[in-house]
Amino acid sequence: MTCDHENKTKLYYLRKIKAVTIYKKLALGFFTSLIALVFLFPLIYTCINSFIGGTQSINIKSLTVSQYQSILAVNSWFFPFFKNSIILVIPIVVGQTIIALPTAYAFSRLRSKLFDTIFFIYVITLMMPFLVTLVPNYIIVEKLGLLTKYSSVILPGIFGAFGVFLLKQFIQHIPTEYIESAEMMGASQFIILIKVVVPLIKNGIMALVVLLFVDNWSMVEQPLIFLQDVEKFPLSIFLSNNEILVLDDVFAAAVLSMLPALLLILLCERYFSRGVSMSMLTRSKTN
Amino acid sequence: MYIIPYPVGGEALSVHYKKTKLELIIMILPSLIGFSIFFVFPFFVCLYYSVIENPVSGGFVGIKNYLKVFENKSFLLSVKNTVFFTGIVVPLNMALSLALAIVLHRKIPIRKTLRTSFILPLVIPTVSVALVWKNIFDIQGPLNQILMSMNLITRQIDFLESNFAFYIAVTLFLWKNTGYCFILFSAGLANIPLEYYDYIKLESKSNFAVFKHITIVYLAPTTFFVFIISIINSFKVFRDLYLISGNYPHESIYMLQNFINNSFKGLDYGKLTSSAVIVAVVVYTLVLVLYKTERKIGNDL
Repeated sequence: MTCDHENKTKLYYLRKIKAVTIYKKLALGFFTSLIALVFLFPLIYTCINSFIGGTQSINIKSLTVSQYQSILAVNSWFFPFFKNSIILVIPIVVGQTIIALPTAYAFSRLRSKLFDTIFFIYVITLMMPFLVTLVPNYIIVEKLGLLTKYSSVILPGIFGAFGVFLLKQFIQHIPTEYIESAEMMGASQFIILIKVVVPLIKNGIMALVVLLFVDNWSMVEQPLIFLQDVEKFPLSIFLSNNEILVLDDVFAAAVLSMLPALLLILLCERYFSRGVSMSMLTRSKTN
Repeated sequence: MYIIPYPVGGEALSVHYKKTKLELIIMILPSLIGFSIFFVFPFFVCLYYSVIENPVSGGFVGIKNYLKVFENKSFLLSVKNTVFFTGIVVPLNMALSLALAIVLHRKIPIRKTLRTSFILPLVIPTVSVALVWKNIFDIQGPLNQILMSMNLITRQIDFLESNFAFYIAVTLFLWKNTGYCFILFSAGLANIPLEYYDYIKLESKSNFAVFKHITIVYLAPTTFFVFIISIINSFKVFRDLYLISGNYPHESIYMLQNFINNSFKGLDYGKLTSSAVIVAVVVYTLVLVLYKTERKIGNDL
């Protein structure tokens, strides 16, 4: 009899604790959602505004796609600039990834004082306020005679240090056994890179691609200074110059310019969270 | 107190064969060459320009340009603002993202959606961001309208030109970068084996003890990485600010990058290159200190 009574009290308290835990979780979820809404607010604001023609206040009846019509069909200034953005960004993203991979792998294995110092210099260029690297870049580009060509923006972008930094973080945490065993089987470093490292680093590569794309999609200073020809300007420059545009069209253009980045992140999101995670994997001695 | 040795990661796999070394060097060569052409060599050219009178006549003037820059009031203002901004914003960012990471570490409903919504600000292109923020804080913008209708202010305020500008800049940075650091911290948290928590629960019941002994200790390498990324991003925020407030923003947000940008427009090579070199030297020292500290902390533990 006393057993039964004990069990009933135990159950009662267990249920109570469970309820409190659930309430706690819900409360936390609720508050975090509020914060998330604040974060999402500018995005929502832009979207809503893109469907409003003229500087009217928000009114359900006045939803229209006139902005989109204006920039895509009537004036159709959108596509040339979009094309320019694509021409600039995609080679940078692809090029930097391809160049950074072997470099990061080599840096993670060659560990002499010399190479560590060189890597250190790579990292420094990342930390510097952007214009500091812009100045030397401009000098060289001018001497190479590349001004006003697309490659004046693309080439410095391809050799940027960010890819090397990020990928080296990932490669460093691959268990060495994989590489060692491949080496013992007589594989050359290139084969190891392609067959062993890349599959293990896939998450990191995806993370790099997304970050590079987003970073370069909105670049403004380099095209402005290197490509002095308005016809070659990418979308980002044109969108930052509000005096030219009618204010209303700008929101629709902003939404459309966000689309490629949003699409990319939605596609790669599962890689992204896991990808950025892997860079922090530490090999604990208990593993 | 530390029952388990501090996890060490990233030990270098030693290079056994000469052939290996050769192949690795071949791998590194393209990037090294390009990087040298576009970043290293130009830097030396920059250095050269900073000690001559001007590119045309080319007379060696030593440190005259540097002295001129140090006496320049705009430069001093921009340095002060930049340091102040970074010093406030980086700790705030790390604290906020750490808090979010700890909270969202438990299994709350719609965790994935929340996580995505924190990443989104980072991937929205800068121009869209600038557009929205400019619009919101504009004189005829919604924020002013809301405040007016609530009778909190009597006249419309141009926020970007007032003392609020600094706080707007801070909010902009926090909004954008919390998500990224949040993910880094989440990953770092997820890598702490659960057994450590059990051990602490045996010792004491308070959450704070858990935090102090396990979380902070084993989160240290993550924290270092986040710190560097935060600093890198705090310099990048200039791009957003520039789009919002233009070449000559309000006093409190006139940053180093503004100064360099304006010098660039004026094509004053001396001022430009010497300030660039000064910044480079400062950043170099900072990164050096950071790396040495990290190595030391890693070894101590």
